[in-house]
Amino acid sequence: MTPSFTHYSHRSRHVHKVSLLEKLSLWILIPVILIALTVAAVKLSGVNIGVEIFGNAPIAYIITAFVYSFIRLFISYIFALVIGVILALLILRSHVWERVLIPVYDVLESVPVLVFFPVIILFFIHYSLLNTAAIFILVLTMVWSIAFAAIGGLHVIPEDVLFVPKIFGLTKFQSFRKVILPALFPSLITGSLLAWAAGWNILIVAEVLHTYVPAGQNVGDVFGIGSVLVQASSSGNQSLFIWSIVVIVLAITLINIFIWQRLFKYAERFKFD
Amino acid sequence: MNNPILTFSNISFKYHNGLAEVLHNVSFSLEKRSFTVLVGPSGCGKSTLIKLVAGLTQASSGSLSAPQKMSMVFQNGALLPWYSAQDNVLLSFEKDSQLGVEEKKKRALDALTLMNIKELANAYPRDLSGGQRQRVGIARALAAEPELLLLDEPFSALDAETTEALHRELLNIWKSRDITILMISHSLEEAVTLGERILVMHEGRIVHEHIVKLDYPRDPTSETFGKYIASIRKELKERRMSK
Repeated sequence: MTPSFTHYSHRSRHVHKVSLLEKLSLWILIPVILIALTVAAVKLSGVNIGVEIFGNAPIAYIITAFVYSFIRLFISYIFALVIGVILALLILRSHVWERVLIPVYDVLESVPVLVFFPVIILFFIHYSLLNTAAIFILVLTMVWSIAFAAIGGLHVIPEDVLFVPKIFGLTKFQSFRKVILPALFPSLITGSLLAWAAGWNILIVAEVLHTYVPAGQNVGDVFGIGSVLVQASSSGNQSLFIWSIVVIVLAITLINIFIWQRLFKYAERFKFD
Repeated sequence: MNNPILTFSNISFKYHNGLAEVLHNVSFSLEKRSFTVLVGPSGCGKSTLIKLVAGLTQASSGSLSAPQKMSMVFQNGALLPWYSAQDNVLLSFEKDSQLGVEEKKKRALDALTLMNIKELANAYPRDLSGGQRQRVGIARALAAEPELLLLDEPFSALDAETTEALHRELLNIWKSRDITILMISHSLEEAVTLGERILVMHEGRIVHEHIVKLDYPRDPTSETFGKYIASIRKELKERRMSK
């Protein structure tokens, strides 16, 4: 019997069957190509790289840095999830709230996160709250994917389903827990995937914020894979740089396979016909 | 009418966005244990009227008196896909803090048994046919033991055979319980099959009322049955022509 595999496609927003070849290409070929491109790019940069490129790299150090970054992103994600859901639920209050808030959210989302640098410099960095500053930047980056996915999710809940808790006299909290939150689950998973992707993107900036401050030093960086990448690059440590990329690509591939794909499959049972 | 369970007095309804009135000075009442069917063309205000009864929206003017114990069956069942049939029925007891979990489960199972789907208690909506889903929807509405049961075109998406079976079961439930039914239907045949009284709506007003003097079960092939249908159809046609 041919083994059957499934894959969640963000574009079609559905889990669909894929062949073994497609599965392999998704989870093996793409990471391999990404790593090969990184190596090629480093070589093409003209730096003299020999065999030592894959030798003598502090793998444990890189993995620890990755774990630090992951925890930082996870904490940011929890904040972004709670805030994103609250922002989405506010529009449920009335059509007036929706008409007012959606344009406000659109404007806020379009504000580049780097605009908040003065706040970060004046407050977080002034008080040496560098980790908090990184989390602040990450939350601001992650929250909008979740908020807009949740808003989209609210709009696909059938009107009759929204009436059910009212008909059966559920409290607002019961209605949230039993109806709204499960109904939003598929959208929140999609939004979360995009939020994490955006989080990984901005992580490098978030972990080396201190260097953007006038007279800032690398010594003020927060420890994580982002700051390790920047340090490796600025100090010309190609081996550290490439191994960091390898760890990121492999770890994110594994997170995709073992967390996101499973969550997407689980979310199918929360979808309306 | 003696001791009505539901009274509408000069109810008007208009959406906040400035669109035209959907209901104009609607007045009617329902007698206890009666079975009334509202019919009328799409957009005549049937769904708005039933939402007002259920308290899902508020009237712009007029007064309304409805019982506390009220429940509703929705067009497509409105089941929650993440809950089994039994858990969907359990929703009707969610607000009741007096009942224990086991008692709630037993009552939910009783409601499913009443609708002949006890064996589907652990099935999820995605695994149920349209008719089975609607049975769960009716079981959920009945489990709350309502005085007034509202049905919003509950059989419109079902095949003829399933609809006929559910018509029979609904009539049995109505006869065996202390329950008043207000149902919306777009089918005149369904209205005459089920209703003791038929209210005909047109452009936000109740324009006619028919008391169906036929014994249950009603025979759709009978001449008298056909006369009721023809009479309502003629009224609706005249309304359209006079517009």
